[in-house]
Amino acid sequence: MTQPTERLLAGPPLGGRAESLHAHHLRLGALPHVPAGQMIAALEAAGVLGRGGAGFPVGRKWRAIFERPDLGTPVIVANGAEGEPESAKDRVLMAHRPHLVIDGVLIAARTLGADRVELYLGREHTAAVGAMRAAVEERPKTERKLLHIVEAPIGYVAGESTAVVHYVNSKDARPMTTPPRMSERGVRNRPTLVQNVESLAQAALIARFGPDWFREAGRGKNRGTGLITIAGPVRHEGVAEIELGTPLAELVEMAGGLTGNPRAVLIGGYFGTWAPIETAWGLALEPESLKAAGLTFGCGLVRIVDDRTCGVDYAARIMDFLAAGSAMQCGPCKYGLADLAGASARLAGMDARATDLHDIERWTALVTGRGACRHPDGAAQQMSSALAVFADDFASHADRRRCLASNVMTRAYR
Amino acid sequence: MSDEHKLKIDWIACNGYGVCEAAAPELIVLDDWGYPILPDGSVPRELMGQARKAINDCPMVALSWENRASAAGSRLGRLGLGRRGRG
Repeated sequence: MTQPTERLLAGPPLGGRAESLHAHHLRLGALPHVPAGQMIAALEAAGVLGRGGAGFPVGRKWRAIFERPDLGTPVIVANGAEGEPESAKDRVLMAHRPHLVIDGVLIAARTLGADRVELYLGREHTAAVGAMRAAVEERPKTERKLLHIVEAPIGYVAGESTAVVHYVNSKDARPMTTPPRMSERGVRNRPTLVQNVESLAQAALIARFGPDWFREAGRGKNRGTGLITIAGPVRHEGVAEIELGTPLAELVEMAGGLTGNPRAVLIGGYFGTWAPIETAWGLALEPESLKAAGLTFGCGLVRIVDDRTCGVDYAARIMDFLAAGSAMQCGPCKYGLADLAGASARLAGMDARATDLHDIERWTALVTGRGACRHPDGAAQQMSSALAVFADDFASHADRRRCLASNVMTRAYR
Repeated sequence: MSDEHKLKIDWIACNGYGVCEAAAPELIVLDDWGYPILPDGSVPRELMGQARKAINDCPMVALSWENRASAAGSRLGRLGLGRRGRG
């Protein structure tokens, strides 16, 4: 039986209360003083990638701000919005290891010379918000005065980095047109580091133990560990920490094994990609290997669907959610995703028009790259990969023949 | 010449009036929802006039040149509007 490699989640077992500052210090010691240049070099040497979904190198992101002191005093924003409906890793991390996240923002603030930290937390994640609030209170006054909690509104796009800055500035969680880049002019027009909470917690460990230690974990090109959320027909659904590069088969074993007959897997979140289970089973869960297979690591969601689940229906529900989650600012996203949701709902409900399947294929290409943010791109990516992986299902639904899933309860659509 | 004569759209500002298509029918087509589809690469020299007219006619000031240097000559630059400004 494979044991999880616990670093971020090391310490007291999950399910209990948040780790106190005292326990955190007993276990890991205080956050060491690391000179700024050395800290950024350590992040770069570790090769740690952002864990919010885009996978941008953390070191490069910090360096961009570090090298432009002329732009003003930076602001740090810890992104704990986690609007991804099936992902739970950020809220679990914050609810159980809040001080690791706070260490991460403090090392970011010291390294970049920031005088303000916004902790942007999804307000629906009440346990996480409560733990973070209590953790801030436990900190000494010198640290506490830097830390400001902002409760993020509920919504998928509210966690998009320009929407985060927009909300902090003016309570409007809709994405903005770039440029300017957030690293140049973000919160209060100052250079802003918007970084996912898991990425910040990784930085807190790298500050303590260094890049060589970080790279000891990992089985492929991308090193270290990562938090993933596994959902579907496994005995223990939930959040796990894996060595990057762990094959899906081992992750399933870590989760207590299968309880159903798996068919396909959605990796990376609602912006992610589907793969048939035969392809995915031996696949290394790390950004590089997944990318080589035409897939995405994204936010680390691994959603398995079994043979009782209709792929058309699942893809349609996601599209419906993402269409409703559009900020409704850009035409192709506002109208395109709504049309994609309508057509895929008709297909799922065995009520397809003759052109629906063809239109879905056309519209996924048409909305891509045509918005202020990547919301339409992500929505289209999920749908395109569903079309490929569930091709037989889509064809059968398009002809209004039958659903290929066993025991399917066809959802009644509007 | 490369990408210096590439068009770009501020998608938040664009309201899909379709004025750009009328001004530059050989460059811009509208999608199923009335929003412009821009050419992939640079605007060919012989269509520069159409492109300039499309930029100047856009009621939302949503169309501009991709790089800032050439955008300075557009209406966006002349009005002194920041990129974030929107109606």
